[in-house]
Amino acid sequence: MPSHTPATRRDVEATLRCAPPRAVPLFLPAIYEHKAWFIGSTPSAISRDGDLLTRALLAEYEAIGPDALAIGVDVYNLEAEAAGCRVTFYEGDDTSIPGIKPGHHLIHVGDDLTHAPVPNPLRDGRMPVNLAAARAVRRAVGDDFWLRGAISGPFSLAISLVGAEALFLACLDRPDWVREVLAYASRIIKAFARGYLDAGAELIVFDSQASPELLSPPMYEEFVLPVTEELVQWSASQGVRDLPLVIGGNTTPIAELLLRTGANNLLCDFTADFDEWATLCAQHQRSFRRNLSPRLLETATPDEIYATARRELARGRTLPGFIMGTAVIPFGTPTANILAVKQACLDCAQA
Amino acid sequence: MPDYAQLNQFLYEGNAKEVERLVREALTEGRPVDEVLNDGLIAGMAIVGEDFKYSVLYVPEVLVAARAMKAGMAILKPLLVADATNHPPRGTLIMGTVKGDLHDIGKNLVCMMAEGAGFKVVDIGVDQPTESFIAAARTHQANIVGMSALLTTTMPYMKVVIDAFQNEPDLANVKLVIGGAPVNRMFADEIGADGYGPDAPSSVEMFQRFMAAQ
Repeated sequence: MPSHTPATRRDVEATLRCAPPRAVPLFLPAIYEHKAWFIGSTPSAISRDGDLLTRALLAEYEAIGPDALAIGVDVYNLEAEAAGCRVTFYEGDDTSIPGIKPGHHLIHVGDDLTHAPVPNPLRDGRMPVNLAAARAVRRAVGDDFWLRGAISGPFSLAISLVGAEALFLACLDRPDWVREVLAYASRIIKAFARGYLDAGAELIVFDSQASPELLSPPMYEEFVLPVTEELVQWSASQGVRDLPLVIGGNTTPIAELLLRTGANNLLCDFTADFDEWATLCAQHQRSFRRNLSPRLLETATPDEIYATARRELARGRTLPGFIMGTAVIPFGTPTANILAVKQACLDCAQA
Repeated sequence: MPDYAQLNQFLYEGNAKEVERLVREALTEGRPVDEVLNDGLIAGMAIVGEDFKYSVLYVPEVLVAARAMKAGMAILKPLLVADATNHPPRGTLIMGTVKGDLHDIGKNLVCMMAEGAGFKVVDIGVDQPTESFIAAARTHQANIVGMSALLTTTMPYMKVVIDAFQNEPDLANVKLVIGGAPVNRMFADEIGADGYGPDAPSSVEMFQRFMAAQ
């Protein structure tokens, strides 16, 4: 059993809906490839085997006791792979993260996507692997735990399908075609999301390729916002009331646009402006997760990590909707380092 | 006299056709290739780099400007190659993303901007082991080897590459530099890199400083 009883579904939903803060803030570490570490495996191995992925998730649950789990390892590849992109895996004890190599994308600029097939989540690529893990973990942890299926955001999936440079250039050269790609990406995402919902999971959307470190705020507004708003509305029509949207990096320049997506839980990454995010989220009644740096988590001592987490908690713990998080935990990060953040959450309740 | 300010502007806007036209006009007027390259293309790309650094431009706009630069370079390149002794590149740069990492946006931006600044650039691609960096450095007589990583899990491999270069005495003068989202100056110092580029334009400025010091 986890060393601390995880938050109940009601607790998590209360925070996501900006109820008065809990004594112990929610702790949602971002653990993807590092899941494999808990069972002495590799990211490539667990990402292709539903049983291993299930074991890894349950091992994470036991070792860390997070307030939610997220199904997925190489989360940005799944929908693209199911649609036909080739993912590179690493064999043996190589702990590299699977990815799509440049040139292994599926769609060429200008392709007609009107009749492009939408993958079947029960059959195509590794979607079934992830859905099987979702069902198995749900059975193991029960219904009162927040279990999220990771889905790509439309822009990130479009990049996986087309390739980054080609899509970025198309944003300027062929904006109408880019909107078609985003619409296709959205159809794929919805199919996978529906699969997760049917498997008993909640959803979490990742769209870090739409970060303002790559795409300008006006382009985010022109291309990404409409299709993301539509995805949030569609999710609501499927009974999803709480939808986290994760975009890493310094998203302060697009914070107001992210609020307009309708997603009710947003990310304030460790490079983003905490005060500005806190003010905006308070004004708009949105919850937000504050991350710690992955490098800090990987290389600092537990004491140093604890001290940093306490500083962040001191700023956020009285804010409705505040969640303590981490950036994606690097593979092999000592468990004590992750638990230092959790301990900081527990201790701030007593402070 | 060609309107280099106008050429710079067309390059900035990514208007490849107009860049080509003005480059041809300048050559027809008998302007030296060096002048067209430096005042027309490199100067234009320098403005793009500066504006990218300060978030006036973003990746799509930089890519479209680099494409326009390439269009202009395609006209100049045969002339530069034909008279290579009088038009040496500003330096030779090997660029690659380290083993285990398949990301290439950052690497490609550095390549484009370094080319735009007059460097010969050899892009060895993504997921590259130590041996590839060393072989490319030797084959192309590199002045600088640049390593990119987007993942915290792959950045330690940069040290593996740097350590391997220490065992190659004939490559002792090659500058080894690193960059990528999770990398910072402290990490560069820790692993013994000669330099760290926080973004593509700053990386190119660093390359220029290295070459000026040689």
